[in-house]
Amino acid sequence: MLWAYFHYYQLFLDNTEITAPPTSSQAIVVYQAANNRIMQANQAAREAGITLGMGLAQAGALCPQLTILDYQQADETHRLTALANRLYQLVADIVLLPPNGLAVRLDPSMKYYGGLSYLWQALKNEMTAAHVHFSYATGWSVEAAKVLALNGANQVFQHNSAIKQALAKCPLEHTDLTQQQCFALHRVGIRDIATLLQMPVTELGKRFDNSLIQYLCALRAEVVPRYVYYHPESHFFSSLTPSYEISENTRLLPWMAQLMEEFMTYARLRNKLSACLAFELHFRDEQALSVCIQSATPLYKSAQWHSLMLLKLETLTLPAPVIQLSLTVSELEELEEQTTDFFTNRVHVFAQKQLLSRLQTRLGCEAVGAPINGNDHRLDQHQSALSASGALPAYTLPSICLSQLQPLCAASHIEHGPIRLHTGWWDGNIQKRDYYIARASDGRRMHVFKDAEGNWFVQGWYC
Amino acid sequence: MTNSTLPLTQHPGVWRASEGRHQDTTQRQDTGFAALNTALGGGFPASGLIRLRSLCGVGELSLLKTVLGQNNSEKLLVFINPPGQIHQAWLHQMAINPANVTVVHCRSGDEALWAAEQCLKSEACYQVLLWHDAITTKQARRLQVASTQHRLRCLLFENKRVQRIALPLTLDLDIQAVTGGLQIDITKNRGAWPTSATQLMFCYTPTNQAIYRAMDNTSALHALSHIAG
Repeated sequence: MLWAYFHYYQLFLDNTEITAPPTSSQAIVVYQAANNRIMQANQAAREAGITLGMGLAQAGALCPQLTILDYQQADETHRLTALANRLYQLVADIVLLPPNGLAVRLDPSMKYYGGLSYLWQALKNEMTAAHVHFSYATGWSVEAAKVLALNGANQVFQHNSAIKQALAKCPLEHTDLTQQQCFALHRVGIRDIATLLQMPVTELGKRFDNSLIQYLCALRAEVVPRYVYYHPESHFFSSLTPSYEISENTRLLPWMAQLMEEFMTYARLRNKLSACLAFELHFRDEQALSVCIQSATPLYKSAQWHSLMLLKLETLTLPAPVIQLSLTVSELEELEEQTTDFFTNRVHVFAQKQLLSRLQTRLGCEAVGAPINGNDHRLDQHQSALSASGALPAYTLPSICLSQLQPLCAASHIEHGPIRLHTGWWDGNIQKRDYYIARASDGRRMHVFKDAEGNWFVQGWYC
Repeated sequence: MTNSTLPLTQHPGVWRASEGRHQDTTQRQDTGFAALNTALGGGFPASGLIRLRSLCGVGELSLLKTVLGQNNSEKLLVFINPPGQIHQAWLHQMAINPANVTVVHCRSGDEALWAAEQCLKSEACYQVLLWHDAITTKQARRLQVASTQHRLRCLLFENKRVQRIALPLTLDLDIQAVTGGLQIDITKNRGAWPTSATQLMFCYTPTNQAIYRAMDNTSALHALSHIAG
């Protein structure tokens, strides 16, 4: 057996901001009031010196501008379920270990992906797309993988010898043993996992209780504990808690869209549709408001739901700022003949994930990308990204943009232009260029420019 | 003819040059140009390997606007080894949704061929665009088989400066820029005779003509006002 364990060390924090992921310089921590502990902290907070397990007073003293989020274990478990649902598209054997752990059995699915590395890349892509931070490891049992992941191994071990070697390096604190059990082990001179693994079970059985022996057997993969595999619920429920209060209608849209996308994944896996999405908006003091988005027929495209949500939001008045959103879909409808498109879509969504993982594994992640775009007039600042829906330039851009400028050598005449760009004063990379479309004598159309010194360069081809 | 060969001649895969054009327009897709549709016998074939030989930048991609834009199923359009970066603004102009486009840059030609074959064999793509200048007959045959079996098009862009070799293709086009448009020679078209010198009037980039015309008019007006005194 080969298990992968994903430890989401800041799952609660990761899901409080979906529109602008981690770049913010604002220090945010997740705080559990019951035992006065900082549970999770973002990059900015860690840079300010805040470590996990601190009290609130100490954290507040280290960083005066601190945003504090109240830790809710139930919310974090919901997010974990949403992640499991997402991964359920790729693998079937998932074990939820709330509040922040997820174990995936890899060996049965490996065959379908044509190897561990392809499967792993597919899983990794899905995690990256979900914008969550995690540490991971693989091991011969859930327990072994968990210990390695908690130790921050971040490696895929395939052979037992490698797993054994890595396990030996882990401290006892990363195991599931209680503090009391650890202390008892310390007293008899067992200080690390390596010695613990070498001890015969019968020897330990004389001194320690049953729970420790059971755990140890599972860690060594001598006994396979009974795991409850994740199976999606018969109705859909998901919720999101933004890190700020939302008082403007349109700001709700990305959050609702996120929930809707989660539902679409859930529905696609089951070949079902729904004609009604029941959102619920929660406020601090007021009664929760339910927003039901109805459609005449069951919809199977996110774009269609998107436009309906937009229409609904335009007419909605919020009595107070929203602090939490949830989506419940209890009535799922069977697919009908007229909606067979849904089925073809179902096939190729999964096929796309497999294809991308194959390409990335063999060619490298940087070789496979989206078309370039950017919020800048300077073309060399544009990057391969889909999310940046930057304003498209008013003039016709070439189909092929060269990454390296070429000096213009061929005889050509100008067909269009000039378009002058004088920009970049804010970052010291000032560009002053006159852009033209030039046609070479052999009929090729080039995107050329003349720089401030009067040199001519080719920057693209109009293919 | 003896009766024993009769079933063979009725096989859809067998075409005899004396029969004229193979009449199955269902397998052809509109190119957006009436003249080209006629020359091709209905349009672009729905599947198979298609080679387009041209210089880079004569409008060989813009010519395919109708062919590339028809993606009803939200499948992927894959660009493998294009000679530069593909820009989203251009995709918008071509009415292609950038979310359905993947660009693959490979270090070697062999990797590009491997990637193309993977894309053709997965059910995730609806069209694969490959830039490759040194494809051999055997490699082309692999792509041709993969693309016909999975019923999608693989467009192979080859530089015109490279020596032309005969390949097992569904369609082989030679594109050349002429004043005001393109001239297309169909070197090979499975199920039809090759044709040559199809002229397409076609403009895909903006020009300064409108400004020149406006300036001509104002100078004429100036001249008139001079005469009028």
